[in-house]
Amino acid sequence: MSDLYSRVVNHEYGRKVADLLGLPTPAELRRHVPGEPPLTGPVLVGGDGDLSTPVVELLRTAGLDVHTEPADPEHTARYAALVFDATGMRDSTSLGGLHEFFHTMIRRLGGSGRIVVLGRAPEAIDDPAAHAAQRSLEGFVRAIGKELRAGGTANLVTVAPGADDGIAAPLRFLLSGRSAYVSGQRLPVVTSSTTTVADLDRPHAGRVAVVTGAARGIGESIARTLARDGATIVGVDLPSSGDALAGVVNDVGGTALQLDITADDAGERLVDHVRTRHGHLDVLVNNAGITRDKTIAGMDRRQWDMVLGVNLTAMESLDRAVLDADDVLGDTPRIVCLSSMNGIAGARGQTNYATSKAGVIGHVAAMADPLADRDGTINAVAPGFIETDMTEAMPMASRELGRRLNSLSQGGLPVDVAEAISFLAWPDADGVNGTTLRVCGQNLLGA
Amino acid sequence: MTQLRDAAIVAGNRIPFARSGTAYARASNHDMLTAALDGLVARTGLAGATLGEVAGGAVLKHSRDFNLVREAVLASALADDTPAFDVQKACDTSLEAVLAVANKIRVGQVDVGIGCGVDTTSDAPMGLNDDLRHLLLAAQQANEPVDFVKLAGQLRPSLLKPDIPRNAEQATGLSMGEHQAITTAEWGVSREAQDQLALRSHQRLAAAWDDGFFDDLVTPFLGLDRDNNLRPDSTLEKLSTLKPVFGDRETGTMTAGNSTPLTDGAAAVLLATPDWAADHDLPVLARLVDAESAAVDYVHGHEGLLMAPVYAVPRLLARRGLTLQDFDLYEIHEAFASTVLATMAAWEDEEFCHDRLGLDAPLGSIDRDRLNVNGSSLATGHPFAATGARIVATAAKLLAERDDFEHGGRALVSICAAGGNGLVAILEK
Amino acid sequence: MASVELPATPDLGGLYARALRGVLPSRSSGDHDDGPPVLPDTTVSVPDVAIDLDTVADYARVCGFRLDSDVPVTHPHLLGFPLAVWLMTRDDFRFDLLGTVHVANRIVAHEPIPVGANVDVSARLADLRPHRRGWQFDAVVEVRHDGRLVWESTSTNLRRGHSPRTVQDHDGQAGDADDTSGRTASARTVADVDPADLPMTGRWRVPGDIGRRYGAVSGDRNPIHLSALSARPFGFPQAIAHGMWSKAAALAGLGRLDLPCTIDVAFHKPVLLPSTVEYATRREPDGWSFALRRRDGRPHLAGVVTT
Repeated sequence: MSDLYSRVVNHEYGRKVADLLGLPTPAELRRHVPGEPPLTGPVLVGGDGDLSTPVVELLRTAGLDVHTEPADPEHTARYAALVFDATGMRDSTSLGGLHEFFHTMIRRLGGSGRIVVLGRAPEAIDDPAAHAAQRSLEGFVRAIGKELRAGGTANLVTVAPGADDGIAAPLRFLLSGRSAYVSGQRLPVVTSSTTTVADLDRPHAGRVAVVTGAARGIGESIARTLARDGATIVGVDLPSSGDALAGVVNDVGGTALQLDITADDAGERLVDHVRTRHGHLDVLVNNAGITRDKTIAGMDRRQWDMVLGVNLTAMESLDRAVLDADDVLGDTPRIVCLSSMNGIAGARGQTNYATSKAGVIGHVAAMADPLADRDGTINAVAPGFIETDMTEAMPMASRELGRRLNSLSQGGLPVDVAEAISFLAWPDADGVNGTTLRVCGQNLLGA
Repeated sequence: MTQLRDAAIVAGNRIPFARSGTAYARASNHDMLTAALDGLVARTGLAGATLGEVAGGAVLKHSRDFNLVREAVLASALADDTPAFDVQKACDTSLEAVLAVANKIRVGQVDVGIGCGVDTTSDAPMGLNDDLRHLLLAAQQANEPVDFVKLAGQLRPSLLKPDIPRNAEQATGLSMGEHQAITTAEWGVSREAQDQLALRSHQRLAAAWDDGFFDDLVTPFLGLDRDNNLRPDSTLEKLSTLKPVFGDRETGTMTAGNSTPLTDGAAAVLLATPDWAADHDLPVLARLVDAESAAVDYVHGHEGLLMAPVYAVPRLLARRGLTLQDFDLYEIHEAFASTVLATMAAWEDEEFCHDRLGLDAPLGSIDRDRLNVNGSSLATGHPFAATGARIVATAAKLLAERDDFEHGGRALVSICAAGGNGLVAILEK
Repeated sequence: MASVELPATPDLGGLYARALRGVLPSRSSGDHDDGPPVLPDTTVSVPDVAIDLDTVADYARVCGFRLDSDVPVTHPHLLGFPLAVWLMTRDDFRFDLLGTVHVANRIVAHEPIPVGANVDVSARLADLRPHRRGWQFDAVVEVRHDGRLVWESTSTNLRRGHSPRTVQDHDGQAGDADDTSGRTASARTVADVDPADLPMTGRWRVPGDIGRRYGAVSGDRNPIHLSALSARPFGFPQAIAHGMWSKAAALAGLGRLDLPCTIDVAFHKPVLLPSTVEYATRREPDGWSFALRRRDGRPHLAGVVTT
């Protein structure tokens, strides 16, 4: 995998030129490989709060080499991850603890290193000083994310009151190679977790996952990733993409459903297929999406309606149909929707697309409670610059620029999006609900 | 004697059918059949599964394709240890293949299998002409130089003329259309009735496509996602302007519009015991309950070449204790519009039913609203060996879709074939 | 690195004519020059190349692939090869094209490419390195569809010695490809394959006209592939099969491959035409090992597919 820029700057001469111009050198990101340990070295847990003790225990149970003190005064050992519990920071002066820890420890973070800061959800804190202190963490994480080199990421997990034992899955995701392209984000844990996963390499074992738009591109990658993680796949795509869909489904094992999701009876047919063929539905990934780019002045109504129809309306009715199908819905239902960075930042020529994708963010926020009533969650993923079909129409210059406008100095891969989706669909990710997670390498747009 | 088991039709799949020389001009039977099988496997979630049997075939077949179906299974997503064999019975090929698998299921030899068929007139085999072939075979036996000299003396430019497969009967030299033209004239089938039937076939197929009926019966192939013979905007006026192509050039009634064109395509049907289907979370769309084949003497007996199903049906009805009216759906293969019309006319004709079929009373008429309700071969086209599987899959899905059938959901499938053959079958919910 | 965008895929016939001129003693440039060799520092690309059904069908037939809605996994080589040759016939290419030997090829197929797609193709020469028999370099081709990198190929070429005439001693040994095999990211490499050790899957009669037929499909009518007469001046007693034909034919025999996958092949002794070769394959936990070999076990080609 390479793009022109990475190739050039990773070449000896290219790197010299890039250094001269002050351009970043994109690192090869550590990505998840089944069977390999989640981290390549020890984890240092710092900070002082409610979560340090449970986190240390959690990580040790996961088989990681956990340090609570820098064990090696010579400062030669490299940490694969730094986890900092900031939940105890109740005012602005206590934030100095961040400097104290990271000032020295950041130098000891290895390649594709992970920083995870644990905080409290500021919304839930009445005390102004504590609220401000916890809100500060977001700025800190975003800034340190930009200072990391060599594929490192920094993220903030905010934990709502009473949700402390919901952090296991988010921690596992953020420390692993699965989160290679997730950086500078706040991931809120809103409830405690009541579920555990037996085989961490196959968290979706025994579950049925529906993926719309599965024939090609990101959808195909989602289908393959969920299948790798143990799920049986129902691949959905337009009848006209049926041959490509058949290829994917026959590869991963599962069933193909040729279906136009904008059809009136699409939800009914989807539920019917799942009911007769699989008996239960555990994961629905609303990936199918289209673009019809034009400035608003030049866009006709059809182009508007098509994009809104596929990206938002059809998704809403599929979700409703699935929620209504009480006999089919599994014990831990998960819905994951595809939003987009452009739904957050907007993009010229994409009023229709940005509208629909911002709508997705609202949809998952609003549907969180109905899902929670069914022991389920609904979340969205907002990809940034991913090397995929949505980049098709871009001219070369803006494409190259798009790849660089983020802290990791490279475009993400479809699998990065797929990994985030798989995580949000994990049975034990039930603490995360109603949120939109950006998979953008900390892109500058809309941040 | 053990009880026969039910043979359930579980799923069907085909690739869109393409007029000869168009979208699949470069595809072989092997390519198309594999694509049809892979689509079926994907829809039913059977990737990597070993099935009891795959039966199928092609009418126009290269000699190297003697194991066509087994080769397609090897190339498909099915497990490589799925056995397969070839069948060949002209336009009845895949219905006969479906029946073969159904019978194996019914007697308990296999639990699950596929009946399928494929044909291409775009990649049709051409043989050496018989004279050259004999010459070359003789040359293989020749030992002495003098033998070669003798054989060489027989070489003529005319030997290079290839033997192109023709749509003609060995015994009569007449093409199928020419044979049908005789039947059409005998039964006095009008041009208008034929055009109307053709028009209705196109309209109904177009509506079925628009309704999404084929969303789970067809997998696209080589960029084609609908039958390209389909003319949804055809009209009686347009059809009436076409010149006759069979029979009398002036007074003939059979045109390119009310005859099926040469077509490329492939179709497959998955059959299983209801238990196997349940174990694999697959639905039972319908059951294939019985079938009957017949043949007519079209050479000296002066029966129409494509009239064999007319004879098969009363025998089947008698065995099942049914009348011709005890069906909710009729799928009569539209080799030509006039084939369907002559078939129905014969069943209504008192004299014919008495003299030829030995019946006391005519079988009577059928409700036209139950005939080929989603269109048939005039609109889809007719890749000979694929047609039976297409019709079975369509009929089975039609039966599965509704619960309010007058006769509980029973369909009659009737397919005429070259050589005066015919095969008819009954599907029930 | 400079980049050149061509409006259409260059015609290989013209490029070979140009290359043939280089064999003549009158040519002043070429690898007769003194000084350290360099490669053209240029990426050449052609946008919007249509992959038409007819070409794919012809290619599938010659190589033994099934015609499907997606192109055969080796087919995009046809799109990139003319660009690589274009680079190798420029004056700043310091070797003679006709004196280089294709010793290895790696394809990384990321995604299926549908027949009928329009793709962007680019090629560059890279990684010139000394080899105990001369110099090695890579021809790197990338194919993008809808802006995504869907297919890439690295062809390793060996330029032996320093004179085009030494190519007459084409007697490839297993060691020719060792430089590439060591660089694979995957755990299993082509160096792990012992062609003599694999179970035989088939015995193929490779027809005498396969070079002409593949030449007609690919446009690669290098004289060494066409006939004994045209191959002899280059040191071959008979015409030899195109290396990429033998790779394609070997892969066609494996049937459907799960993408994404990496296909590594090392070319050993050329397949003289006509001849009978043994096809040997073994399923591996992560893909396949395969080989084409003579009946005495000496290898023509060894390969691995890893997913």
